[in-house]
Amino acid sequence: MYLKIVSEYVAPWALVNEDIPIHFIWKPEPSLKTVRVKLPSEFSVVQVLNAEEYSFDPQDNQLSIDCNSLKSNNYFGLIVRSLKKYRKTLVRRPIETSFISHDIVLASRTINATIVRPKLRIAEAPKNLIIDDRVNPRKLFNLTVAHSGLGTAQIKTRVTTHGKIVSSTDSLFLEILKDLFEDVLKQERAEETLEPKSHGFRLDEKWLQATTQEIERYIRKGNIPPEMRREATNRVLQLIENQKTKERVFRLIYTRLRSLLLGALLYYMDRYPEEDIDLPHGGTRTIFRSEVNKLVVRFDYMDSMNNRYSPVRAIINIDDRRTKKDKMFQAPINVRWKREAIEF
Amino acid sequence: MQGGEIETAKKALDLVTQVDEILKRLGPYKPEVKSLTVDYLARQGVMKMLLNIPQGLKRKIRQVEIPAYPGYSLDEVFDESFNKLVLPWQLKDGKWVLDADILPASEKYLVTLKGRLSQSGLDELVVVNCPEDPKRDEENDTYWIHSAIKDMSILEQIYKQLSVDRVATCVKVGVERSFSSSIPPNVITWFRARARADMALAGKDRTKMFDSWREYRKARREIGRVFPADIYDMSHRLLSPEAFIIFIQVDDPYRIENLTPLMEPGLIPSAIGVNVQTNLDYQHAAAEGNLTFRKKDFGEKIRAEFDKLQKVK
Repeated sequence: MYLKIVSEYVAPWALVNEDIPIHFIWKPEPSLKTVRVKLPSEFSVVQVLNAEEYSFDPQDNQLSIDCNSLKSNNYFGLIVRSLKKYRKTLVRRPIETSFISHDIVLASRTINATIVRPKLRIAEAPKNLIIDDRVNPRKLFNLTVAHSGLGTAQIKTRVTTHGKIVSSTDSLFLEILKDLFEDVLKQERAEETLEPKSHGFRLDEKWLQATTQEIERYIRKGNIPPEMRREATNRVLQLIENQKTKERVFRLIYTRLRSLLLGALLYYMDRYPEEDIDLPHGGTRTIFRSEVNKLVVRFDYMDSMNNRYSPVRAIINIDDRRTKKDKMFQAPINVRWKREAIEF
Repeated sequence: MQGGEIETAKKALDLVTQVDEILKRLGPYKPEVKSLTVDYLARQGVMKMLLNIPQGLKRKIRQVEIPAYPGYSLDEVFDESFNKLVLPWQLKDGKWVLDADILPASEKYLVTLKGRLSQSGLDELVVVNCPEDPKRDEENDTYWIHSAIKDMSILEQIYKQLSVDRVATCVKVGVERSFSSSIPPNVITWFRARARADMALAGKDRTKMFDSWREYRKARREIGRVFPADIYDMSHRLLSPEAFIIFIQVDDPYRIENLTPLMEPGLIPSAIGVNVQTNLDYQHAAAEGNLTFRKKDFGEKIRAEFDKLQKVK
């Protein structure tokens, strides 16, 4: 007896918790009684396709499908997921399938599910830095972070000293938005009317309207500078909701469109500095007002399925030689992102 | 584990329950279902069935009755010789009613019923998957696509004639890096200087104001006159479906249905939704293939457009 398998499939790669479709199609064979699928222990079955009756043995993580219950005796499918986060960027896990007729194995197949993840590594970081009165803060903190594996890493960068956070987002766009919102609120109090200023460059009217609508959608979604106070944010949203005040807010947006466009464009560039790197908060800068002797730059990240991975850190010893140690010090964290190829 | 998480497509599809009932009520005409086609995209079901209404039966029943359901309509009737019949059906008490005498001298009639399907009904019927993230190399980004029928037993007696057409899914093709890597760095420097200068001008710090203005003028001398609006225009032009489609390839049996830019706060789309579709049936219960985004070629296209822009200025 022999079973001819016409088509077998397993998705070529997936992240942890991402659906992995699998299917087998064969030439109909009346003697086929059971299909047995043995899954790796960390896998879970999400759906069984085209089968009514099956049993599951949790000990072996094995699924037995009664072929009489197949809706058509030539095909079955599975949707599975891996629930475990692996350390390696790529692991292959075997899924063993046997097609059985009264204890005789008609055919058996081992297919590999490939689970991938993004992985960050600090490739270069200064160990010791001197901060004095002449240092150029913009060129001070230079790190290289390597990205390997498959999948986008959504990254949040923070700087801490002895557990205290001494950083904030460094996004011009968010600053521009913040300025704009503050002006909206100021203007609301002053009740003054604003004349639209010239933009300094040619813009198509229709396009302007569409862009203004786009900004409205953006604000409505709650994309508001994190430094802004909640009440102020709510007030701006209220002003947009109200038809009367909405017009005034948008006239103001219109006068600031050039800055907003510039900011939005820069935000886009800063957000996606390298393939598979997503910095939703833009860049990061460190800010402190007292003497520091150590800074920890920490990169928290997750993949597109929102699986969080262990953060990576760079520890930098600081020799603070400034004359006025309580003066505010601000410096961007400059990161060069480097891609490391994955073997597939 | 997870026994509880396992679920099959047990829940009946709305079409099935209705079709079963339709067949029951058509009992006297010995209905034979010839095909059941589901159009996934249009969410429409089309059932073709053969009704046996010999002369003796016509005399006996006097009226032909076909049950009518909300959302379903009686589409076409053909006779044995494939002549399309124009018949004065009347809707009475939830039934399509026809005077049997009007029917021409034929024993068999091919009747087509058309009906709407709910999204949840479709979800019971097929499953479609594609990955969140592509596999990347220098030239291309690749996404896998898989579609499969969940339940072949829609109508056990006819599953060989069952087909689910235009089973669709949307593959999110990321284009964010195509733009951020193709804009020359000196243009970005200029934009950044300009934005800083704008902000400084609005503030009160005179030193900051002069510094930023000097930086801005220096950056501007280097690049000529490229404006942010030009980049927005360009991005919207290059990411329009007509322009972008040539950079997308899909393997058989998939076809591209349409493209929709997915907007993000940056005002330049960060991804394009590519809607792909295929047909599934008894012979092809599952389909697989890849979608390829020729990102290197697309990046070159952006750079070429940029060169043009800088020359014109």
